[in-house]
Amino acid sequence: MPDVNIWALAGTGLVAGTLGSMLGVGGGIMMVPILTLWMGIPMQYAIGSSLVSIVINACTATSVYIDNHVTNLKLGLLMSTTLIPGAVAGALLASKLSSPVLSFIFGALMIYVCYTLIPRKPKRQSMEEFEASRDPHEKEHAPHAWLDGSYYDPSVKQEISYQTHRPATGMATGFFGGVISSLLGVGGGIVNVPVLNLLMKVPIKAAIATSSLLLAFTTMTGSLIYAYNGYVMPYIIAPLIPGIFLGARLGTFIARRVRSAALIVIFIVFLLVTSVLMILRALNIL
Amino acid sequence: MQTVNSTQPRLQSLNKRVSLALRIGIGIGLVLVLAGIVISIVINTPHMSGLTPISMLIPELLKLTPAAFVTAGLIIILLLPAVILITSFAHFIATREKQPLIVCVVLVLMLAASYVLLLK
Repeated sequence: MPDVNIWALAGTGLVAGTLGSMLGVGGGIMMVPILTLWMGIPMQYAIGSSLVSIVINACTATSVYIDNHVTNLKLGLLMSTTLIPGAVAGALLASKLSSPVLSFIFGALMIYVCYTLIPRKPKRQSMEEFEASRDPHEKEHAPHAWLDGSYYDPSVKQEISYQTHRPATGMATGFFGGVISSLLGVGGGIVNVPVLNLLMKVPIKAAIATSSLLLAFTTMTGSLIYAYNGYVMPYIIAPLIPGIFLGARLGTFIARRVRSAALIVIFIVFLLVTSVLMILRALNIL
Repeated sequence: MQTVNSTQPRLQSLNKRVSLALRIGIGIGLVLVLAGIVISIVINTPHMSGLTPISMLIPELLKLTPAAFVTAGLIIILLLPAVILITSFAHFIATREKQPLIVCVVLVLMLAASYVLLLK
């Protein structure tokens, strides 16, 4: 095992924690290449450390988002019921499917998702507008009303209320997202956030916060298994943890105060870079 | 059927409870990990070898072994998602919200099944 600088590890944790919690992606996608390519840590140990880091990041971010009522807890629990089997199926399929081909297809698909995420017209509604737009009959009998949510957005000083659309389709896509995240080791966030935002019409901030909760559930199993098999080294993970904790706090602070449109642009850039890297790796260029 | 407004105060109390549970768990976990780092610097053992087995955890903590502190902190942090589930489960039983309660039960069964399947 190589010698590692604890300050470099803490710094890695800080950067991954900030971006991971700000965008609801966990941060593993940045951490694994840094640990393996830059620090020379073997892949299995890097993945183990990364998974544990995502749990810490997701739990820290969720504790803040949920306290501010941005996380849609019920929706997060419902989505987890398909994400977890998807992640398990992906882990079991990992040895049987060709990862480069999947990386290429998934990277190309994500570039299309980037295009569809580009904001076209504002869809914000105040509580009054939201209530007025709903038929009283629908309000009483909407089958998915228990999944609706609202939160206060300090960047626009407004209560944002929303209805959750297409929960069944979202859950089915969530299963696919779970499979892809385990198969390609990209973390579920880059699938969860577009599914919640584009398909289920959850506002971007609530989608990011709910994605953090989903990440906590989906990576908990994997991280415990890696720890059980001895792929989590205390001297690697210990310096990462304080950095991730501070980064997660910083990321949630930024996400709460940045306007939704800016957050979408940051997410699109992040997704685009990730997708291009995945395609380049699939083509053996990286 | 409940609407956003009718369930809002109950949901907010659940959010507060989950947040509090997470903050306490993260706080304890972080203190233990930091204690492990400080002890390893003080006794000059920068390379803590593997995690401490659970059966040896208490004796190793009493011996102030740095890896034992990190392991204890990690165990607490890695079990926090289960705390979210338990807190939610207890809340939905108390508030008799059928749909989320069923979701919680399904999730508990799923997590248990995934451990059995993956640890095989």
